[in-house]
Amino acid sequence: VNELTAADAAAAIRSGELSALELTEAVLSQVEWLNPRLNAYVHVDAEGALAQARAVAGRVGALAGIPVCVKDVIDVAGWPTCAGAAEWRRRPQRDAPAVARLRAAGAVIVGKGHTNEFAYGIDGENPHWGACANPYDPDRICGGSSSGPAVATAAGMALAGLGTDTSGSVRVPAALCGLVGLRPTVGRVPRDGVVPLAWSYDVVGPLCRSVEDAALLFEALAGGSVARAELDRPRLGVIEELFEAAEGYVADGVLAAAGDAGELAPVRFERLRYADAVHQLVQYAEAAEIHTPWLDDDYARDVRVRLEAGRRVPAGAYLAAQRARRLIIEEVAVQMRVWTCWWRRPSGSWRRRTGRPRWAGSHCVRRSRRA
Amino acid sequence: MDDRETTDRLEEEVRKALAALLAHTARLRELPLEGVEPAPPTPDWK
Repeated sequence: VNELTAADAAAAIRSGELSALELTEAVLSQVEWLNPRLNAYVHVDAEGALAQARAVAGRVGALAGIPVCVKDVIDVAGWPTCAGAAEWRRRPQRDAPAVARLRAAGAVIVGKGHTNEFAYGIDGENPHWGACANPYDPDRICGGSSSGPAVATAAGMALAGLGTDTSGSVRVPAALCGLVGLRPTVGRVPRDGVVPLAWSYDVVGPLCRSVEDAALLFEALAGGSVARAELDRPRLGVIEELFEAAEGYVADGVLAAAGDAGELAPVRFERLRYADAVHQLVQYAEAAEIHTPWLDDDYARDVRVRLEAGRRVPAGAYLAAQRARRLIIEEVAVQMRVWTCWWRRPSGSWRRRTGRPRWAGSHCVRRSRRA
Repeated sequence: MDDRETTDRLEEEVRKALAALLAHTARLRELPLEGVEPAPPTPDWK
């Protein structure tokens, strides 16, 4: 039963074919078996999860009885938030609003999921807490920084995950673990009670086994019903330059699927080539500002290098980036009036740990997990 | 490697990262930024 989609499991629970308790027990059994190998969870509350599942009986929430793994940068009441850090900790008394909304819809919060240090990385490696393993092949990275929620969901240790995304931290691990990852628009899901990385880009989003599951979780996270358009042949703009770096068979597969779904046409963004420069400048500067009070702590070397460099970004450079960001937003807004949605390059192929992952820092050494 | 060497190497990496960021800034100057209001940190999603 822990291989069901969240939508199918919720329907089975509503119809009485399956109980929330049975489902949670199956998920916890999988956690006991696989977590020592995959390291998806950094904190599991089995008794608490079973108590939540018992309390679900008779409820009709959209996610009633669905076990969820929450990334360890998002507060869950009574559990430590460690953010994948060496020393930094907090013990929140309240759930982050995003978690509270999932609970209100009936979700069972199983535990806290592995993350890159302070969510600052996209490979699922962490020198303080060990690496999170890809469930399909332990020699390949699982992606991050929402590594734990992705691996837990892919491996049947949860039916869905809750992550955060600043530079791909939901989308990359979702892609590398065969899941659907949704990065909502900034501000659409509350991010109070979430350890920030860069406030201009931080969002909270779900990692799921199907598009239908992503819609279910997003509705809960957004705090109410979300309009769903029934589109016969949506107009899909293809940002061709973003496919150039993709391997041919991946690009062909994505475009074939898109062609089945709607009407395809190329779309160009003149300012797109500046987006990475904007993103780097803004993220480095904002992350450095957030971390300034903690910089005496122990950090992985690659993270420390980014933070120290970010502290030295001139104010004028940060403001130039935010000005350029407005120009890019305006161009995107114009295109949004024409196209239903865009297809962009899928995330890179799985890269072997034994090589040097493109996303990993060169000094990301592994240590045993701290007690 | 002693502490001094470690610190020097870290400083070198920080300088390289900062140089890359400043190169990004130079590229952004190709855009017509004059008079543009900086983007808000949280755009209105509606």
